[in-house]
Amino acid sequence: MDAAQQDATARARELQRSWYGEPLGALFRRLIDDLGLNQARLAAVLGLSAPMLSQLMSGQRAKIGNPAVVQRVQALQELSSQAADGRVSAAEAAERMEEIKKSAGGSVLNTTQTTASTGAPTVRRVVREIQSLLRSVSAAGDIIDAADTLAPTHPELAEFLRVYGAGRTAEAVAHYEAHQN
Amino acid sequence: MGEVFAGRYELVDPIGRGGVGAVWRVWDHRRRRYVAAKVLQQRDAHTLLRFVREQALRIDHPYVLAPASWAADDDKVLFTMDLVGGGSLAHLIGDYGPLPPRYVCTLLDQLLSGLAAVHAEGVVHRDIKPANILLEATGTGRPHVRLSDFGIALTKGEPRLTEANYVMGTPGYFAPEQMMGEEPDFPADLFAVGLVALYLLSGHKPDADALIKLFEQGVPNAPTGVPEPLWQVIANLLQPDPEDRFRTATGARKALLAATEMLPEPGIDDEMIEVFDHLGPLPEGFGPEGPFRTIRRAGADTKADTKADTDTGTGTGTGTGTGTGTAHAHNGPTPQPPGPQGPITPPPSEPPLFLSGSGSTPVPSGTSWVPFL
Repeated sequence: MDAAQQDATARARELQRSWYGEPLGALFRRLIDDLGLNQARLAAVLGLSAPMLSQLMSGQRAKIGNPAVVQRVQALQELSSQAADGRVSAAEAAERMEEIKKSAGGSVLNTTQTTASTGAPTVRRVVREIQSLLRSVSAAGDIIDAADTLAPTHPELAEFLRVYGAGRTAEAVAHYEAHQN
Repeated sequence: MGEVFAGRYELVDPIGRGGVGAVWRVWDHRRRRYVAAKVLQQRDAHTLLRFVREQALRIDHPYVLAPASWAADDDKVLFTMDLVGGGSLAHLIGDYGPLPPRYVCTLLDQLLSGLAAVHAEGVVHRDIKPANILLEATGTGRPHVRLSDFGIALTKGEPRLTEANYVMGTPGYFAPEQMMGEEPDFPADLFAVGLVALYLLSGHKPDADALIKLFEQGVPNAPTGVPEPLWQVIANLLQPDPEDRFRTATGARKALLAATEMLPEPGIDDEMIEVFDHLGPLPEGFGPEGPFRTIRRAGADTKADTKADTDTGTGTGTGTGTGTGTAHAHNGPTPQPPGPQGPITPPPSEPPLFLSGSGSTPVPSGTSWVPFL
């Protein structure tokens, strides 16, 4: 890295400190630690692409362009402080993160959104049970790994693991409803 | 070594998921290049199969990503496409939020240009939405749109095969007449383009139902952040009655170009938009020149018969693989350590084959890793 780049990075970190309270590298790493995430998972919850998250963390880019993402960062900061001092359990935190992910326009990333969520509280509860059971057995990253291993030979099973173990609740509900008959 | 599909396409890693199937990066052993492949169950593949047979050869357009060939294996069908690495418009909005109007005009102009080519072949896309509009990984250069996912596309005027076609599509990007089950027609795609335009300018998914209600009292005022000349064009695309809309993508495109000229120049404070390469590095065992292969010390390649030259589908060779090139430029060095064993047998000159029929085969003992080329 040459001197000009170092200057730019330092300036970006300074801007981040004034906008977000601290450089985003430090801020995101704390969220990752407190909430038991990895970078890919944090990017997914925030609705950022992995390369964008990496640019923000390294100071190659200063500003979070999407205001909806800024709101999710704030919500996650609150959640992580609650998780850090034990006010919310890991399971509750996982559930809250799903909600944060969907908040403020997060649904635009859904490929095939269903409108079935209305009037289906029982389906939702069943789906949540399956999700939390899976996630209590294994972390989302490991589930994705397992799904990738299975995918060539057992695509349906891999899909099941991915949807319930690492997908959005809406996606899991859609999956559940599609397989009810 | 990954599973080889139909004796030709070696699955490398999953790179995305659509509504009904997974999208993989695959190595095409015949053409010796990486491509994207959508793997569908046979029962989900009819529309696409018909599309490929009838249209793919003809819709060869820089802003369209249509499946170029297909291959069938057991109960699955694989469709290949250029490998496009820049993510979709949904990713772009996730990263940047609302986009500058001039940038949006560039994206829309390309989208309409691609759509005009699709419509010229009599095809109604029917599922235009941000997640189906992909981008080449052009970095900070001019963006390059690829309209993709012809999974529910129909040829205008042809009878629909199943009742299910009525309800297919994505809630929220439906034109009102599409919701009422009218025959698919080109203006329905234009309505969806109008919604995509609003999504790009506002950073969130527009409420189509609310918009349709608003239009009942005449054309509403431009939403915040949407310049008036541009709104005139978008509002026309969003007319609830298809009779009031642009009739053709080309017509909409002309109006858009005129509106673009009236937009203010980009500000110097505008955030720099970079379309990232979303494809990760190649996994272990694969390099820019393809997979590293194992060969048996004796009797190797007895299976390398002429099957490699059997054509598996129609339309191969459409497109130039520009996406592939861009993606690779960022993949970085992939470690290729040959095994510790001694002299390595160079691969024979005939095209190597991995006929694995049933899932991944374990590496046979007494083999050594050699680079594929």
